[in-house]
Amino acid sequence: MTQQEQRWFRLDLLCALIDQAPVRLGRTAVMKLAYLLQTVQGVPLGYDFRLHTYGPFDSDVLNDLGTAESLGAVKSEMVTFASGPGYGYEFTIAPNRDFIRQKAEGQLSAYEQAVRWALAEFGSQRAAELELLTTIIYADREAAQRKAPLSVEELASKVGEVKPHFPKQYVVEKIEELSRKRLLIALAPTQQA
Amino acid sequence: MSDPHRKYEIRCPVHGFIPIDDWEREIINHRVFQRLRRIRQLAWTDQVYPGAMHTRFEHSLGVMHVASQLYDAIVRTSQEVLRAEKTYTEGGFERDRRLVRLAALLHDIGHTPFSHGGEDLFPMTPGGQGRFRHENYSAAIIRTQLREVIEGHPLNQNVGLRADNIAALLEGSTGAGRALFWRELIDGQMDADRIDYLLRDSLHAGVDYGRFDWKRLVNSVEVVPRPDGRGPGLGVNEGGYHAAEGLVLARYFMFTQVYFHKTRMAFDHHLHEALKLILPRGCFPPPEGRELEEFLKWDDWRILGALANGGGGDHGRRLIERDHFREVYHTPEVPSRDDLTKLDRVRGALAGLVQAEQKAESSWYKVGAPDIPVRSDNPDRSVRPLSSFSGMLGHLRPSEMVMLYCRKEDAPRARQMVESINGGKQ
Repeated sequence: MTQQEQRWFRLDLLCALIDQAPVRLGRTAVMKLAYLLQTVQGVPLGYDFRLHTYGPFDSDVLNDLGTAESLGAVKSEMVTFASGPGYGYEFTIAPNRDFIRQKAEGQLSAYEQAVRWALAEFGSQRAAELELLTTIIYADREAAQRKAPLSVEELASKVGEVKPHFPKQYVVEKIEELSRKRLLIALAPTQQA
Repeated sequence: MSDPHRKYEIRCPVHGFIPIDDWEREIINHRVFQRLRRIRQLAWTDQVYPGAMHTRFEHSLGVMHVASQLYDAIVRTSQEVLRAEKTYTEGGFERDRRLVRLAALLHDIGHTPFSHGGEDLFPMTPGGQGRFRHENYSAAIIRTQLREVIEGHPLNQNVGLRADNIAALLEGSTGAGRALFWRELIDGQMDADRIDYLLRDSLHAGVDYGRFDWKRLVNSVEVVPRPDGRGPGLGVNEGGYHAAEGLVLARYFMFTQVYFHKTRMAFDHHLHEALKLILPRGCFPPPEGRELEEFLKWDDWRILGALANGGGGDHGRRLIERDHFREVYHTPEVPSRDDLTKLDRVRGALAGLVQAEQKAESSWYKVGAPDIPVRSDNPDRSVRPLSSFSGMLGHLRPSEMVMLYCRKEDAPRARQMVESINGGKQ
């Protein structure tokens, strides 16, 4: 895939996520779903995610969303939350979505099942949940890369340092949930749920 | 051995005096940091703006200085939140201030010759997912060559920093622990890197586009709540929103006027192509083992020597003789679908004449979607994005400009051909 082909493929995939999601997706949700697709499903998006306190992040995802919006393929709207002082953005599909589909020349078809998987498993999760789940997966992949298996406790402890506002027991539950879904690869064999 | 408590100052054209201590001085004096004196900050930009001859060395000192000021301001305004949310103590603040200063100082230690000009020539990672990035080289150099000078200084007995802590913060990995919060000061919307390079590049290039009220910005930074139980993040208070707006606009102007200047981008292309011929196997050595030592031997001087000796093929010759490719067509900054369709037509019509294509979206300096949280001064203390305060920024879109280049001798014919498409109007 050339750089240009990959760019249109990425835009097409982001549009597909927004189009097919069971709920309106925000920026964080799109970012984390793209991370999951690339990291867990091996979709060749070419993003370079780095860990921040808000989970894996690559500003190129936001740039791509900005481009899709400039081309009239998606539309974003700022929303506020009843639960606190912050804000977010929600995306909907816009009339020029087909332009991006045409430019991508059907490359997405090989990954439609992966998109359906991401939306079915994670498409309805709150942004805070997605930040936590993807941080767990990021920490897991780091350990796997170092060939250093972790216990659930060790993984929870690593994640807890980055995201101290989640209770430790809650982080452990989320690790076990991901483990049951076979999405973690660095847990020591006896630790696999 | 020098007095570990002695303080020093370094003159900086942007910040005046930059204070450093003995520990930092030893790191700065290390040969791998001194290499940054031989890496120009803006590659061949001096071919357009002759003053732009500054180096990664002075920029790195500046980033450390700005990062410290941001850190101090945040601790001053948001100490209670950080104590409550992240269990900071005085000792914790002191330790992470050190960490942030050293991470800022060393963030560019892994740059290739001519800075970003050579980054596409990093080798692929072992997993084949993509190429190494200069952050990977920086982290590897910190963990190996710099480990002793970082961990062994007597002042480190007060804070117990490990080289791995600094590397993890720069890489963005869980090894940074709670200090990952400070990564925003190195790689974020209002980071010290960005603040310094805009001011410094602007000064040396002799343009005013990169200037903004950065001191006001520093004084406005604070920890703000993120929505929906997502923990704290960095933002500015309402009083500083024009300064934050100034930063985003400075970045936009510098991108259009300096970083993505058509002639500068032509030189970037020639450099890239010349490097492919100069480097063994057409790429830099990976950041591992002995290969890392080989990587550190590459600097601007060595490349310029190779070019002076006839290396780099036709592109090397073009760099030396200033016989650069000419831009013959460009899209608007934010092309519509019609503009992209026309680009395809122009590209097709020019066919073999097009020698290079430069895209804003591929540029390291590209301007992304601005999103800096601003806390209102009103009693509700609500937090909203900068773009909702600023009418201008609300309409700012990432630049997607594409430029097509031909050889100088082909440029008149190419321009005529472009003119004949749709009467030549964009």
